[in-house]
Amino acid sequence: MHLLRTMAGMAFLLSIPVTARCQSNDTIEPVQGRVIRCVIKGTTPLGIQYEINGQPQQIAIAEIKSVKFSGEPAEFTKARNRLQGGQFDDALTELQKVNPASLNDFQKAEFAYLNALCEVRKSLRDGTLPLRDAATTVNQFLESHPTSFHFYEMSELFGLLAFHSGEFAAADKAFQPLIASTVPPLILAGHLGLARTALEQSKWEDAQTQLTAIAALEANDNQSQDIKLIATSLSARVLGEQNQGPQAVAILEEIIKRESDERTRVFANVYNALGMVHLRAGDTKNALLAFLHTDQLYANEADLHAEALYYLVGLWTQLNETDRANRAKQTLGQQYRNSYWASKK
Amino acid sequence: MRRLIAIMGLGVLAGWPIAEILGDEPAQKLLTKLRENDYFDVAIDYLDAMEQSSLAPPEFKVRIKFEKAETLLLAATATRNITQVEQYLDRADQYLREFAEGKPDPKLLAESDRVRARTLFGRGNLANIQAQSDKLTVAEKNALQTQARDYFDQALKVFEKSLLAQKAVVENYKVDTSDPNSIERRDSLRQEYVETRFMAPAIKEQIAETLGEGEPDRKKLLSEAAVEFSDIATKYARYSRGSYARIAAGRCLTKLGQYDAALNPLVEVLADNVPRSFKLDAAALAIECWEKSRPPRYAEICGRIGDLTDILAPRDVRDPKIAAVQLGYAKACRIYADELSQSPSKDAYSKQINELRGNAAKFAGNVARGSNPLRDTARQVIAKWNLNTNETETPVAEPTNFAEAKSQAITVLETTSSLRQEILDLTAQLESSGSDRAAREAELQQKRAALASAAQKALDLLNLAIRFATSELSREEINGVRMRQAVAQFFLENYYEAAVIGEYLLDRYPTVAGSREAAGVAMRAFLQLHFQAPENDRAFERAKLESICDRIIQQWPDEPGTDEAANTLITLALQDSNLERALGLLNTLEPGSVSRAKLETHMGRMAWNQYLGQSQKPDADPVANQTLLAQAEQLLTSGVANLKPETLTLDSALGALNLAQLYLERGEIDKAIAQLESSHVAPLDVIKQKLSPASDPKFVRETYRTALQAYVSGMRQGQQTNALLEKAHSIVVALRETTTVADAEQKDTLVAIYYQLARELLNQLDRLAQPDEKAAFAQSLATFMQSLKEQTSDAKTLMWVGTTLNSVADKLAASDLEKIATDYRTQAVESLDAAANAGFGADANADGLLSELKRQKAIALRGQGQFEAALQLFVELLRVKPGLVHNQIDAAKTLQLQAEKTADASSFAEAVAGSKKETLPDASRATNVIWGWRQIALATRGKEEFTDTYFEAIYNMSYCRLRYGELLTREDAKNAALSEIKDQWRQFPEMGGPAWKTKFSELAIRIQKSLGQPATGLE
Repeated sequence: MHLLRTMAGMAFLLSIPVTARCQSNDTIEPVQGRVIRCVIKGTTPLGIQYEINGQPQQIAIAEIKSVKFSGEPAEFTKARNRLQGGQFDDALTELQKVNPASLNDFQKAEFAYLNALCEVRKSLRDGTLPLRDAATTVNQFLESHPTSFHFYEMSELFGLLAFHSGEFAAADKAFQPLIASTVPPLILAGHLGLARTALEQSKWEDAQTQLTAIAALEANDNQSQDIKLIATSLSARVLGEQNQGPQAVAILEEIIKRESDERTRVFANVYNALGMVHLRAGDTKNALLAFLHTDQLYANEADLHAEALYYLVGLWTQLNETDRANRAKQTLGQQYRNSYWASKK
Repeated sequence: MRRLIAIMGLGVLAGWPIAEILGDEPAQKLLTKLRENDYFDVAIDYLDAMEQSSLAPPEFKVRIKFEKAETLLLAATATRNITQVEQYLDRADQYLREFAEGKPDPKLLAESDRVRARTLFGRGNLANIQAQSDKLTVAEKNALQTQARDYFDQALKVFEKSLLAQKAVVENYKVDTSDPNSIERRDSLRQEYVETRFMAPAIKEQIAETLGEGEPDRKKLLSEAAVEFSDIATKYARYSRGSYARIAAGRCLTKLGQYDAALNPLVEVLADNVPRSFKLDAAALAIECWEKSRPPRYAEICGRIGDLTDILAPRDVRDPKIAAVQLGYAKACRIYADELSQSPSKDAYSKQINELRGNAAKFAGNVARGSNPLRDTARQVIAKWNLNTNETETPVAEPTNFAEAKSQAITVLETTSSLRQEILDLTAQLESSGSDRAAREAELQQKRAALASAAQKALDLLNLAIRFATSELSREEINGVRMRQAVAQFFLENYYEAAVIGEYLLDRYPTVAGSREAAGVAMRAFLQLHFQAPENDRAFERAKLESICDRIIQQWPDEPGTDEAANTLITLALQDSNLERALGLLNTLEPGSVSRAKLETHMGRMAWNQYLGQSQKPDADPVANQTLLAQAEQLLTSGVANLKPETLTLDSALGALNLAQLYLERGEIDKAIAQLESSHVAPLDVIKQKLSPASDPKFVRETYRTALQAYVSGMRQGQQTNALLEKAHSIVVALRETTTVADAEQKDTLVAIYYQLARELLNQLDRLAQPDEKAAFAQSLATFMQSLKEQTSDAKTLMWVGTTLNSVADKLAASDLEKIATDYRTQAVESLDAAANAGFGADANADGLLSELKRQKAIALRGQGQFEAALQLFVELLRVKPGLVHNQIDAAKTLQLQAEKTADASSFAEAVAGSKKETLPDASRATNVIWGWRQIALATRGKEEFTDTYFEAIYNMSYCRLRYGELLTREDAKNAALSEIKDQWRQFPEMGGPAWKTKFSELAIRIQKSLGQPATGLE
């Protein structure tokens, strides 16, 4: 309920841009092309408005790789580097050196974003911070900076935190704004998030509705392609749940055969889905092999690895391999202690 | 067809168009290439094809017979199979003769003469090797050594003659500056000249080898050879033979005991840039010289051999030479370390001492772990010096990138492969270990824990490497890590994980390096899972296993490892008794490959065992049995011929033994002996060479038993009786050595072997059709038994001799060879008396053995016609245990035989009614100690386990009554006999089975005829 309340009143704020003091020498690094040196005039959840030589321009969030505000404290850069290197505590230490009172509005939003991101990472990756604490910080960000260009990213992360807390309704609320955006990868991510919460609640038809929406959306960038393949694999899982195991296996094996496994996230999803289909069909050993693929080959996909481990615990137990079950359980508890899968009964 | 493909394949690989291969300039090159790759059969096929081909250039065509001889000579040097070597040399001789008959160009003839000389040299070597066999008598050895010298002398003469001619050609050769090939030709002529020069001292060295240590000619020949080798080494150092001549000179000087002189050329070789095989030979000799120098020079061994890293690698320790060098080095390190530790300034050497001790442990450990003839010695060295072969490793810095993590993981994995081998060896030994089983189990446990720890460490490092991996890394790099992850998981016995990774690489990256190995790991992992699954729930594992094997075969049809997949599928097919599929799959394996050979041998063993099982069944189909036997022979012959002694498994070695047993079964004694002694994989040789299967006591005992059977069987052929007897005795000695006589259990094992041998020999005797064959066989058997009797004082062995002779006598008597049988019975009585005199001491079963001894003696006396003496012994036995039915039967039989022999009606009556009335202890009245047939029948009637005895008693009772009636002309007795039979028939229409029914029917007819009744029998 707590998470649900934090989402209240979020949507109506989304389209109101922040008007701020003029800055000089801000830099935007786009995904493609040269670094843009400009004066950032305002931000919205969908992008940034800026001026070059007095000419107003804008850039959509999907095209932004990074942003550096003029006059921002050096600790911001250090914190970003520490975050990238997975040193979340060090990043937070850097941020603690910053005096928030000295920051302008853009910098304050960036400061809040970096803090929230550190906490999310600490919570989801390291498990060293309770999910709830991270969620509070993220919520504060969303409430305080509704026009930040990080808004959707934070919104999705909030959805993930809610999912791992087992608060599916809150997660759904967090994913909804993404669907409402006009950015295809965000829309796909929103549908995917909703599909996952539906699957976890065994709402097969709801899940399939979201997955069908993903399939119907026109989007060909790599990220969207990956999401579409993941959606296909989850649709196969739905088929499996509806006693159409052989068709489901055929779909999944086709993806395995056709796609490059450098799409590790796709493959981790596919093998987990395959494991679920076999599991529902009572084929314990094939289910085991499928989940072991994620465990052995795609363990870098943390949440999917946690999911595979969760099912492996049960499968090893079924095969009377108590030691193996205990080992999988131990790994799950140690590596993914805040994960939904670690606490799921 | 395969050979033709091989020719074409090789040609294409070498970059020659097919048309050229089949008949143009590169013919000689192709031939050379085929020989270099040991494709001798293909080379001969190719030469056959060229002989018929119109495309073959005339200058090549005239050489073909000569080239065939050369090819066969090379083939002879590449095989260990002595019979095959002889065949190759014979064929080579034949081709050389045909070549000379064609009156070739004198230059070519000279060339062919040199090949002939090498053939003679080969024959000399062969005879010399055969003379080394310790299975030969002194006279046989001498004869072979004389033969060897003859061959060497002939070869030397040809080489010396050829050398003069070659020298003239080389000296007169003028380089033609306008011909670009002229210098190459000159060099080739010089090289041939050096080769021929090398042969003269080489032959002298070999002749010296045929002479005894103390013979003066030996010293003279070795000295001459050493000087000549040194001269070649000085003058022709740039040629390969010239370089090797230094080693040969060193070898001759070593044989002369001139160690310091020998070391000069050997140390030169060790320091030079020469092929690895040269260094290995030089190192082995140099170690011997340094060890035998006075005082021994261990420091030099440590210094100079320690630098030879390529020889000291653990991987090749199966090679006996490498094992010898490593063990020599280990010993030197240990002794030198001890010397330094005794030194006053030992503290200054502490680091060096530790290093030396570490090396001693490491290299002795290498040898002890590998399958090689020095393994036991190495283990003794380790135990003697209490070496710790599990030295702790130096700490290594935490890896910081992919390359470091991978490299560290590979290092750790290298230790796991040797641990794995140790575990396999220990597991194999455990099956056959006796009193030290507990210690071995503990050691095994320790090794398994070490393997798991190392594998986990390797896996952690590999996982770290994967985390460090970036997109810039090549697929090969990543695959290398993935493949090793599969290996580490396999060693951790995480077979599902190993299978997942291996199968992933097979499916996604089949063409990338490492995937083939990973697929192999996956296959082995599924195999393990298959074994582990309950027998009634293996469908999943079986399907996965078959699937991966199929994919491996499809993906890499010609690669090593594919045979393992086919092997697995064949094994599965055999488990299903699907011999047809197994044979079909067998044909997918490369003929002549070791894995195919192992499978053929295994399948041959299965067919052989099936044959043995079937042939013991009374209702077996003889035609089907012969088919089985033929199949077993075909598979075993083909399989055993292609086994490699250095990679021999217990199963394969047993296959080689089964082949010898099969020949024995067929009565092909010479073939059986050849298979046991001198075939490609000869079981007796396996034991002598201490190859891996020789560590299995059952294999050793079975081999010795079969050898005994073969030698004893062979004696009947007459010609080689003494030699075979000598061999049989050497086997008996070896058998005794393999069993600890002090250990009563082991002693019984030895006697059990003897009894099994007796059974086999008696079966063999049964199979002989003609009485004279039986007599000859029995004679050889008796000769062996008699000599064994003279050699032993062991009561059980003596008793076995007596019992066996008794059985032989029975069989001879049944074949109307009564006179010979009586002789054997006399010998039997002597042996049994000797056994009784020796006594069974504290044997827990001494009373039982003495009773059996008495029974056997009674049987022998009965056979000799000494009925009263025999009956007396039976009475003694029956007084103690009157209820022993088999003794009662023998006693009744004795009475019956006595009656028959003396035509005494009253004895027939005693045989029926019993005899020797006495009041036994614990009895209130006198009874017959010998029951007679009637009492036996009453005692066994209605008891299923005695059905046969019951009908035997009834039959004999009826027969005795008939004979009583005949002798006293008493019709009532005859009628009583007939009534008894008919009465039994009414009660038991089957009459105890077809065999008894026939006998009863025949007896009834005889009685009916005697009574003048219609001869209806049991109609």
